[in-house]
Amino acid sequence: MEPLMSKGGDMWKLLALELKYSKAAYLFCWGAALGIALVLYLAVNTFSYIMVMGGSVPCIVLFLVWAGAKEDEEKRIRLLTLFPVSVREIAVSQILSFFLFLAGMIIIWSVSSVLSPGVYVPGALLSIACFSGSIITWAFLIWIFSDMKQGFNMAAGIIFIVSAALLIAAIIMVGTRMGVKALYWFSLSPGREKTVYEALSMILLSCILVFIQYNVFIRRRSYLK
Amino acid sequence: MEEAMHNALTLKGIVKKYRGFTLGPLDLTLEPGRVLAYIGPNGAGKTTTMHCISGLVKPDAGTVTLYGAGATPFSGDWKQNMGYVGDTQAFLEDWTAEQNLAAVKQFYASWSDTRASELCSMLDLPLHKKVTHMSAGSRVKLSLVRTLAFEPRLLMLDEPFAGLDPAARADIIDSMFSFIEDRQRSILFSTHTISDIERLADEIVFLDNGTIVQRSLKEDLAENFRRFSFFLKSSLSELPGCVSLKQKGDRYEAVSSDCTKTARELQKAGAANVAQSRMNLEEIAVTVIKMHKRRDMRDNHGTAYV
Repeated sequence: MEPLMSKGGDMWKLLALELKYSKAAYLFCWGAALGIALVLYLAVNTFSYIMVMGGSVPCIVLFLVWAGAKEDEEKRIRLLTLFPVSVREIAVSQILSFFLFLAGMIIIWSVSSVLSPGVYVPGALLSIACFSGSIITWAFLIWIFSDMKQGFNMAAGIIFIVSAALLIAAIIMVGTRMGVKALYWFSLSPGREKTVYEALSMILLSCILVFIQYNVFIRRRSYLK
Repeated sequence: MEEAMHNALTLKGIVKKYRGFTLGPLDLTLEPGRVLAYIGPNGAGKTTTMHCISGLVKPDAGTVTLYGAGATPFSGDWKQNMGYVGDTQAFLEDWTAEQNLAAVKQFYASWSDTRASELCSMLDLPLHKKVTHMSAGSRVKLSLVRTLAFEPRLLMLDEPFAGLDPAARADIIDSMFSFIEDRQRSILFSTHTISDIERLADEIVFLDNGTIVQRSLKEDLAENFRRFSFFLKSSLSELPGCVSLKQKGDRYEAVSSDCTKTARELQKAGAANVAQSRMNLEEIAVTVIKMHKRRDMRDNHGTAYV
């Protein structure tokens, strides 16, 4: 298998370049995430339903903002592909950069979820695990596969299966009495209402997961065709 | 292998398949010090070829070798020798031209600040302007500076002059001349503008529908392609060396890709008032592509379209 990095450690140069270039967009998103979480907390903390979503809403909104701020991303990847670095270095540096962005979002999400009264914390943690797991899976698969296209294809398949399974499970949990009952028994949540919120949260997260992965990874994969 | 070591570029059996289009199998070599024009109709596969060479897409089959180094997605070293200016220019849009050059610089061992400064002055590049606010011409110029400043040995240009005003075009062509003046570097460029080929190219490769249909020295094309007019009493269905033949009464007009052969045949046939005229490169290019299309149709339908 070919070495992951070139002699000069160009992957780190690429990562530094990506972070430097995206710095403004990242800071804006993190700041806005904190702001929205705070507003939601102060304004609507009496409604537990909204509070469950209190952590998710800023993430959805801000991911969209972030995606918009990075609208020249495709061109940039095309530019990086012309640099004298391997395709693998480009892919891994991009994923690491996104992971750093996501880490900030996860922290904000967790803090806003924990701060919000009535929020079911394990639900938020499950979501965080989904995000982190998927990102790590991507990085791992890119690492182990010598063929980028094969690695991306396989990783895409796994992630979509996991996301789809999550989505279906969440729909079953909310949509069927048995599902809700099962969730209630297996859940640490003290009440049925919160259990439903948890499932709704899972639906939302599955959708975000698919959306992010489509935008971040599948679109990038096209440059490896 | 030995041959590949001596070539600036060697393509062997390159195939890239898209839905409804297949490029190749393509074999192409480019010697150091040569300028090769790569021409063909829209959708012929020129950009796809360049994308395969530059690593922007991965060929389905075949190998790309640049100065003896295999171009693989797992190494970027071979790109130190190759500069590519595409039909669309990618930059870090929110940064100035200067910041963009500084960002690229760190990846190239052979980057020359002096060369970059010279080119920026020569092309009158607005260094402190954000790329996103730059005109199409300035973007092409910046792309050229970014590419030429690390002094690649092979330069690939994909319709770089499209949409440029005459002054910008002249500046860029001048920079091309200075690039090749030591005759050690090679250029592969595609364009629809024949005057650019006339000025820059040594050789021309004609591409149609994903395959190379002809490769010729520019001078040979100009020498061999001629337009003939003559009178002949007897009927003539075909004429050796000719790629098209039109008859009006006993007057004929023909386009030949081998004027010596055609002139000899006409003499044998007893043609009268034979006149031949040179064709410009644009007429020749159109003729070559049409000639190939006719061959294709004849092969597919078994009918002669002369």
